[in-house]
Amino acid sequence: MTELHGGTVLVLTKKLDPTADLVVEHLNQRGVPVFRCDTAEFPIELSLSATLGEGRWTGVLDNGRRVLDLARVRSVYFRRPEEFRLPEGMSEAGRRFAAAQCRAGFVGSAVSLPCLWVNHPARDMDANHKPWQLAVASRLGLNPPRSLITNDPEAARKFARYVEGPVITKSLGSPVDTTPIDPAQLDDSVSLCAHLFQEWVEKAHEVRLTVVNGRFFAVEIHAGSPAARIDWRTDYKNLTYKPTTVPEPIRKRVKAFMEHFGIVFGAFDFIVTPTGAWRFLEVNSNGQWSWIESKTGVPISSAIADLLEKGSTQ
Amino acid sequence: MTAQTVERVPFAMRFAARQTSEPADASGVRYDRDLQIALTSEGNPWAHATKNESSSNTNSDSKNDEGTDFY
Repeated sequence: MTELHGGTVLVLTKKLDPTADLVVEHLNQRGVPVFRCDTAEFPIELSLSATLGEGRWTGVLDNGRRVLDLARVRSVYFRRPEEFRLPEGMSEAGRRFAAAQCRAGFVGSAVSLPCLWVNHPARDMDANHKPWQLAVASRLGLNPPRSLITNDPEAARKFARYVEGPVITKSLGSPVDTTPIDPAQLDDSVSLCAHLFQEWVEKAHEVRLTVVNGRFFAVEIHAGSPAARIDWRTDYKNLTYKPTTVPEPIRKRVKAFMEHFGIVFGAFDFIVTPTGAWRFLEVNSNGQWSWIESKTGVPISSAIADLLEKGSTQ
Repeated sequence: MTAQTVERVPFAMRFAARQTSEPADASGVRYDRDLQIALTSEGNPWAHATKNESSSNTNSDSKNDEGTDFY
């Protein structure tokens, strides 16, 4: 069993996460101690013992191969942890009880670690609220599309008239392909839940802008098919990529946006219009990035490793 | 199905995101507890072998790569 010293990077993610692997490889090559675990390993493969000390929890996480000293965590990379897996033999009521205890104990101890998080789960949750993103983006001059959130069919029809142009619906909380809508289709099914409608913005191309603690990795995404021109996520095979630069005013506003939400990593989606204007679509605060690195060579994994190794945003 | 049991579908659900990328092939892949990364059956880092678009889903609104709600 190896005990880790010198400030360890805690990586919280599932075992098969090739994106996190890229970062762990960098850290391994640099000799930075890493403790990788998944909430799914708790409580069967992973044990936690934490004692309340002077203003923080101290103790260990032990996976039988490594021991993490909770007082010596330099940073945490929060990626894709999975649900707790519980021991067999409990009743359904027992499982519900145990799951709640695991969540409160493990998660509560983890999120209280006073170190750099990429990103802290609470900040990540905040930044994931699209209505909140859009409001902040608007306030900061990132010029998102005119938007409506409603469960009122008449409000949706009124919005379509107000826009005086094509309107789309897109993901709000559940996965939805960005789709132009016919206002005549807006029926009572709108009333079944909240919906997001936006004006359609003409685009020259889109940009995926990945930001790691003030380092900007911007890549143009050019669509080669009608479907990809509407929503590039529907037709990956017909996309081409090209690294690009970010206009200084956009950089400043994106930095302010990230400061607002307290995030140090963000994967932003922008439309660049035929006249060159940047229009904010959304931020993915725990978004994927490895395919962008693979397609273009932009060094996102090493930038994340740099940040985790440093353990500070300064 | 009677009129009373007709399933109601939210408007935007008509456009529910399709699965447009193939999941990464994990056959033969094992997690190495020493390196703390996944390796292929040949012993190479899986991250360098899996280059398809399955890793491009972007956020919690993506279909096949949702992060766990930590809370």
